[in-house]
Amino acid sequence: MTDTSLSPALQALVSNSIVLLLIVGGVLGGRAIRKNDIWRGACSGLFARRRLSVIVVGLYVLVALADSISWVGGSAAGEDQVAAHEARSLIDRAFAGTKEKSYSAPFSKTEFYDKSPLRHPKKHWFGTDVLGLDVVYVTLKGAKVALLIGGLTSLITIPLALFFGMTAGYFGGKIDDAVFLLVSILASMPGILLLIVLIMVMGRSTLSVCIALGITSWVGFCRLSRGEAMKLRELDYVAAARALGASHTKILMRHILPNLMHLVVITFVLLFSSLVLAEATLAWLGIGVDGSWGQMIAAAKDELSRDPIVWWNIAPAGAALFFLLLAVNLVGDALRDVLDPRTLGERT
Amino acid sequence: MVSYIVRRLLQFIPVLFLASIAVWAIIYAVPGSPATALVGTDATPEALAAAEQRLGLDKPVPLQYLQWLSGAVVGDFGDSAINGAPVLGQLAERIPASLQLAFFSLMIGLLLALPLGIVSALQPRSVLTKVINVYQAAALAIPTFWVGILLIIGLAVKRNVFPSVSNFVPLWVDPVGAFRHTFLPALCLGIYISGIIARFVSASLKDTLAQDYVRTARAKGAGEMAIMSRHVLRNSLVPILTQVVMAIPFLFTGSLLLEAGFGIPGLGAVTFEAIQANDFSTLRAMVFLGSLLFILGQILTDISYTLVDPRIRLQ
Amino acid sequence: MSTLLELEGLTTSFPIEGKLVPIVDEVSLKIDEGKCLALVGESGCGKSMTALSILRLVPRPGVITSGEIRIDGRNILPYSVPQMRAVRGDDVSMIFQEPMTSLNPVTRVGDQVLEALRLHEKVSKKAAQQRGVALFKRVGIPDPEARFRSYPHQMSGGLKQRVMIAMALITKPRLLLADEPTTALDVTIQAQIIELLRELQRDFKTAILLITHDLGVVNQLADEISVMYAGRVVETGPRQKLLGSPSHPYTKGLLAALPSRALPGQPLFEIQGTVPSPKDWPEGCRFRGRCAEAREVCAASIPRLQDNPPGLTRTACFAREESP
Repeated sequence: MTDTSLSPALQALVSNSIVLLLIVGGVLGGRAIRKNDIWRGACSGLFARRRLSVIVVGLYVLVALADSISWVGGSAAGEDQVAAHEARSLIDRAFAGTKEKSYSAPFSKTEFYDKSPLRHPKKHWFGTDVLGLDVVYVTLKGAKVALLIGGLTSLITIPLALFFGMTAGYFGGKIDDAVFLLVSILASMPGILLLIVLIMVMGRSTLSVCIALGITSWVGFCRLSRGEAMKLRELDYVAAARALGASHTKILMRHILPNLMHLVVITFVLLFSSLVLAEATLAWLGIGVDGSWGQMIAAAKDELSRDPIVWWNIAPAGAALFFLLLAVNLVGDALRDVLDPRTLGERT
Repeated sequence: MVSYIVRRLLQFIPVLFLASIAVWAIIYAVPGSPATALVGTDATPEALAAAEQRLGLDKPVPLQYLQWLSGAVVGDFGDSAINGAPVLGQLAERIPASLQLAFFSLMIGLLLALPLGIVSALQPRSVLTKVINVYQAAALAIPTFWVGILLIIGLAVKRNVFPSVSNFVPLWVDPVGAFRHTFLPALCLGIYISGIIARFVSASLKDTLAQDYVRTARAKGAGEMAIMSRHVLRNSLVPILTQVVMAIPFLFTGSLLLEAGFGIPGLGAVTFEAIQANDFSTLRAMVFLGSLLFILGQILTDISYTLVDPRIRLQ
Repeated sequence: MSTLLELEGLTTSFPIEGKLVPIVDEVSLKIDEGKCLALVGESGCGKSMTALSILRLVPRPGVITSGEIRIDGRNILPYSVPQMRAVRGDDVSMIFQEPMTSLNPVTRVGDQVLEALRLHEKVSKKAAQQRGVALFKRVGIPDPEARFRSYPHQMSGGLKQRVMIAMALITKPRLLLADEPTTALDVTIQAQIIELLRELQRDFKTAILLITHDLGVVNQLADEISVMYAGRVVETGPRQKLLGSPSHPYTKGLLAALPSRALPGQPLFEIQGTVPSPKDWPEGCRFRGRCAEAREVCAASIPRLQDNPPGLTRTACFAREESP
């Protein structure tokens, strides 16, 4: 994940464990949701409204998982020796041995420029890129990167914002002032600039980019959770809990936090797409994450001015990003409708 | 009300101060020295040291900061490392172009967002609203500069409806020309903004329509038009206003790539160049100005609240 | 004394989990000119929705599915929207439960009151203002000229409710729908508002449909009372007769539960069970789950209002039909 020198076997191990964790987490989460009336109602409401979008997101997730299950060893015919020692995922293996020399048009039989015959004529649905890699292959690999950018960063950002916002809103007073100061400082700095500068400072690894993205995006949710915590603090059952002698921590954990969860879910989904968009901007400036769709498009932008236009390696990447974000945004909107506190109890 | 504004201003001074420190420190931490911009990357160590001394980089850090700060408050942000000209002057030159772009983008954004938001609030279950929802989601699914590229290829290069490389044509000099040159980039930003604002328009209108006083108005026999104009619009303005004002700083600084891509000589473009050339003075000035703009935007929003909602005014 | 308002078999339904549930179920009632009918029942029995149905202000997704609403003998249910708008605020006015939120916070209260007037009469601004201020005085708002230019948040709940009353009465409507007008107010203010309503009814000769769950208010204002339960009218009759000799088991239970009727040293009476939500309405009489006199026929069909016992009130109960 960090692009530094983890041995291939270790990389594979980390990838596979994460996949395992995600699957286990998904199953446990699914069970918890099924038991809870409100969340179950929300899920069925979601499926009812945006079935297609949910399925689309699910497909992307599957592709990303397929790209994360990897192991070392085994080699396909015609594969170079180096590849055998690297951790290669399911997707890598599915496309093993399809590398050409350089560009070729979709479904073509020959190389684009020197017209020499391809190794796998008519097999490349979207042709090959400058390195001869099948465009579909490279595009599929971008799914994992996009989900990583959106998912990992959100995982960093949301707990951070939640913690600060909740405590600021609940405790008020000096803590609120301090957090307000911090938030104002960060919010007043132009996002893109701060992002670029942070990456220039921290380096270009995937983790640094995710951290930089996290730093520049936690402010929004912090404000939101602060506002909600302030409202929740005034509710009668909080006063009742205090009168019964509950400590602040207990109140936060049992009364405030669960009532913010619906915001967490919505924010997670909507933050996802703005993060992926931000990474596309960074990629355009040359400091994106390797293998992302943004980077594919940035690397290919010169090709648009050639004649004839080499369009086939930009289109899938652009389309892949657009449809993922479109689906995610639609799901986010549907979640917002479904998890609206005013209608939350009505579905059971 | 004046005391309210003064109080808000005072609240923001420590923010500005701390922000300037943060800005300064971060840019300071960037590897590479601004001196390389002067002497090139393969200069001798002595030449580099001499350049650094000229830029005052050999003094202790807090002193450098104070020097910068004392300059900043009077508008002296030092000289640009690219061409030696005073930073503030350079930035000031670029403001009209960015201002024009921001203005047009906001206009287009609002022209799109307001009707879309109103329709989806008034007819929540219609087919039109479903289309609008998809539009909103799509508007936030593409980076603005990609849209820009597609538009350039489609409309400018192939068909010459709009110029592919925009120049800054001031509105007061040549309105039609200004429109032609600014339309495409403004459209890109405008679409993105409309995706955000339309949602707030719709949500705010729906909230207001559900209020009890709207029911009272209906019970009095008021027609829908009267209800919208007299009861709904003013009460919905506050969240919409917040969003619009919050979008303004974004318009200035977030149009980085758009300006660079379209060749508009605005603040975004100059920032882009500064990043590529390690021009720290300009970067610091830009971030500082960005903070200033943001804070001004906050205060403007507060003022507009007081104009719209008498409950705040008469505190 | 002619009949001003008559509801006949009014049914307003809402879709709940796929089915159309009649929240207002075949409600029939009658109000004569200048009289006050109290519509009494617990929260959720459909009384507010009945009033909203009269003005065709039923919130989506509710819809009036059958019945007739007659004002002066004319059925207004088929009226077009512009025709309804002419009725609203002019022939029939409504005041609501929450004075706090029922006034537009960014407009002066005087303007809101005048809006009601100028929507229906051609009056000059000056004349309208004079009438408004005079009415403010009449409803007991102190310093009426100054208050006319106030904003809602500058007034107390009681004052705001007086403003609402002024707003409703400035067009001299023939019928006033009052939805729990005193519920959100302090007890002392309640008494003042009730007194005000009584005076105004006398002076303006306005008929009132008073919706409330407060039997104390009913006792002071109502000429006739209709008791609602789970969407249906279960008993109706003149005030003294219904309060003095209630017939329906539910009405009897309500009155027995009044603390003033409790015997010292005895536990307060309560009706067993809770009000079922519309999803869970049983077949037949909806009160039978809580009724001490329930019998087999109660599960088979819904009882209709009958003159039993004769001479007193009209009741919808199979037990009364058998042995009045």
